[in-house]
Amino acid sequence: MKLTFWEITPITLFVIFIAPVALVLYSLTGDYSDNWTHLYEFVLTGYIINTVYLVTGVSILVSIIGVGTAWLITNYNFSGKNIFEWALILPLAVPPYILAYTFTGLFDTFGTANNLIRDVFDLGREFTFFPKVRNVPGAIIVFSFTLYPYVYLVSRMAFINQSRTMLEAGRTLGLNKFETFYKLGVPMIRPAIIGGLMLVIMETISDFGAVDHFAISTFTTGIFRTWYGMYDIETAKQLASLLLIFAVTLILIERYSRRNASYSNAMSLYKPLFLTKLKGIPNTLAFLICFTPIFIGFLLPVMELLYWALNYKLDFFNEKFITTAWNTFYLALIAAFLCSILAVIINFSIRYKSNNYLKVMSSFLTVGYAVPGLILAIGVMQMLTYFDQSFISEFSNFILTGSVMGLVLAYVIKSYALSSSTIEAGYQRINSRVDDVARTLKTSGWALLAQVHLPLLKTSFLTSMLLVVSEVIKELPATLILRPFNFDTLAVYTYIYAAEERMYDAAAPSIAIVMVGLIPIIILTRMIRTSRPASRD
Amino acid sequence: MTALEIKDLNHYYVKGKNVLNDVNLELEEGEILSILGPSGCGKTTLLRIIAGLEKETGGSILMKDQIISDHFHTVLTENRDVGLVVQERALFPHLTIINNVMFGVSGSKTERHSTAMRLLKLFRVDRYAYNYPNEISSGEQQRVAIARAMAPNPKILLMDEPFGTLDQSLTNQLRVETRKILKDNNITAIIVSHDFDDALSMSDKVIVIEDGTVIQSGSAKDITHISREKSVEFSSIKANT
Repeated sequence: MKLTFWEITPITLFVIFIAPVALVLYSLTGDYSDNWTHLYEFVLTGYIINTVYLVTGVSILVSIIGVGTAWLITNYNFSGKNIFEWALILPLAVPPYILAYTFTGLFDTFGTANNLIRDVFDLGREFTFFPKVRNVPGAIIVFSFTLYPYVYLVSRMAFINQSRTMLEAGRTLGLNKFETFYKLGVPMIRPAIIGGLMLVIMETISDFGAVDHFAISTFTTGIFRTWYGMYDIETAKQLASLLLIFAVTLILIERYSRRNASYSNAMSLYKPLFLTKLKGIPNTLAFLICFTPIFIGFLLPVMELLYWALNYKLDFFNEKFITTAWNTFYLALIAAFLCSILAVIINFSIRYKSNNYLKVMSSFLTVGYAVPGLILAIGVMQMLTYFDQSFISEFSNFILTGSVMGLVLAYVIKSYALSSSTIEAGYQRINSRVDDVARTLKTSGWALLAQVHLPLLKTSFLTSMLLVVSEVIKELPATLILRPFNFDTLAVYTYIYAAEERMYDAAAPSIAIVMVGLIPIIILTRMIRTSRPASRD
Repeated sequence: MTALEIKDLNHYYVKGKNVLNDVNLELEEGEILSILGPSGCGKTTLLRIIAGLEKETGGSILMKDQIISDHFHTVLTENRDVGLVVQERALFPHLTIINNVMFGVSGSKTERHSTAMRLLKLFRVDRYAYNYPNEISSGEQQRVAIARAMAPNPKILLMDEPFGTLDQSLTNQLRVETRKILKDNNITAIIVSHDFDDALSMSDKVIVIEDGTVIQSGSAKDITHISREKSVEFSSIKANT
């Protein structure tokens, strides 16, 4: 069989993406140290139980917030709706570890919030109003209120593209507004919701900063403790391999559950939705439902960070800061563009070639998202070192290890799942008959992609860029390991202070991360709003 | 001249369960053929195979005496010179009506524009040239879809349930208009339908497929005479689906 570009590209990417992960998995075939007895007898069950609790709690809360707010924004007009439409994405700019730091700063026994209550009501020092947050429910809240935008974005995009006629058919069949939401609206966008939820779950199981700060034993904290506490990198890699197997199992379950779910809209029959105006109590309720996640996930931590920063001299706007912010920004843009364009090419290949092998391969490309950044960085470093020693050093002095290219590669492998899931959801909304007709009009391959698919995928492409930029700006462990000498990003700045619990010092770079993260979010949100099909109504 | 010849065509998705059995047909240039049959009988699969969107598992297809598909080689869809109209219309939602029709036409921009405008006028939708597909009615969308398929001047126009989602009076009107335009322009066409009236009012020839096998073929008049019972059967299947 003659292989074309559409087969060669996915195969090549598969090899590049899988190699670092395979290097980590390869550790399973090595020797098992005595530390495994300790892990098995004392801590492994705790890691598994806490991780499962965390994933379950976060999934439920994120679905309620993300889908609920997306439905309200898409179908109703209420006070503040135009602001909420983009403001609901703001928590994406706050990494879970920064929300965790501010939560403890706010709600600890002598945190800002408890002190405020004591001052206002003139209570004694022994009085604590807010419950402790350094536990699993606290972590569930932290993850849910920072990660729900993943579900909000994909749900909103899917709801926007839902045709009015389908929902009106439901109303004529006797469904009330709430029933139309959960019996018609939500089931019709189930593939998109599951796609967004998968991103949230993968982000949750691979996080280290927040759970470590809350002292919750999960798989990732276990991996780090085994590495740094026991100095046993092989056992840490073996633990990481188990987490990886869990992630792959999740992906396969998700694929299986979506196997028959190609809910594509016949685009030519699309009719934009009419917005219902809310008044009185429903208006207030809708306002509160949308305001609460923004308040907890964005306003509260930003206010706390500002409070901290104002108690500290603001001298970080120097040349070094600008260079660091620029490093962060351009790395994020390069990685976001590469991720999005690769996701388009891979998803197009699957559709164009109708090849199940390519589909399976594409599933594996998203595995990088579930691999803790530090472990992925080790895998990438091992792979780059091998390349440097085996091939590149023969021809030039340039080395991949410790270069910006290595860092970008790690970002792309880590963030590809975000792009793939978004582009895939976009493709599900393009009727396959559009391709059939285009082919009879002598349009295939690149022309089909450029003239038909890309214009229809514009919203998905921009969403994908937004998600990756936001992800890369927050990324820490892989950056620490792979960054070139004397090359800092904003996350590295924050980490150095936060690791020493010097939160007043960490406040300023944390605000900078949030602010830099906000710029692409605002720009791209505006572009998404103007590029959606409903904008012509 | 023979526009299309299909010889001993077979197709299956699961070995041993054929969806098409030894289909043979011939279509002269300028003729309109209807493929009639109940849902799931294999008529759309036959159309997709003629378009090159699926590869048959046996038999051969010739267009103007040239083999376009057999056991040894296959001409890709984009090189077959066929036009396709589908029930869902599948207009490109990001392009205006004129750009949809210009999409498959080659030549300079002026030539492409004038070809597209001529067809839009022919189908009486030229006043919507600069509108987007979601701004016009379904009947107008279907006219545009047919105009777009005709624009590159294909050897054969393939239409899959072209009036399936339209109301009866609009369907009747479009049948008459479309047949007149096809005949005036000497266009060879194949229409797949489960509606007996589509076949009767539009075609010169009809074949009836049941369970992947051609059970009747002949002129529209012959089939009218023979298949009243079949028509009732299809109608009852249609009503039950």
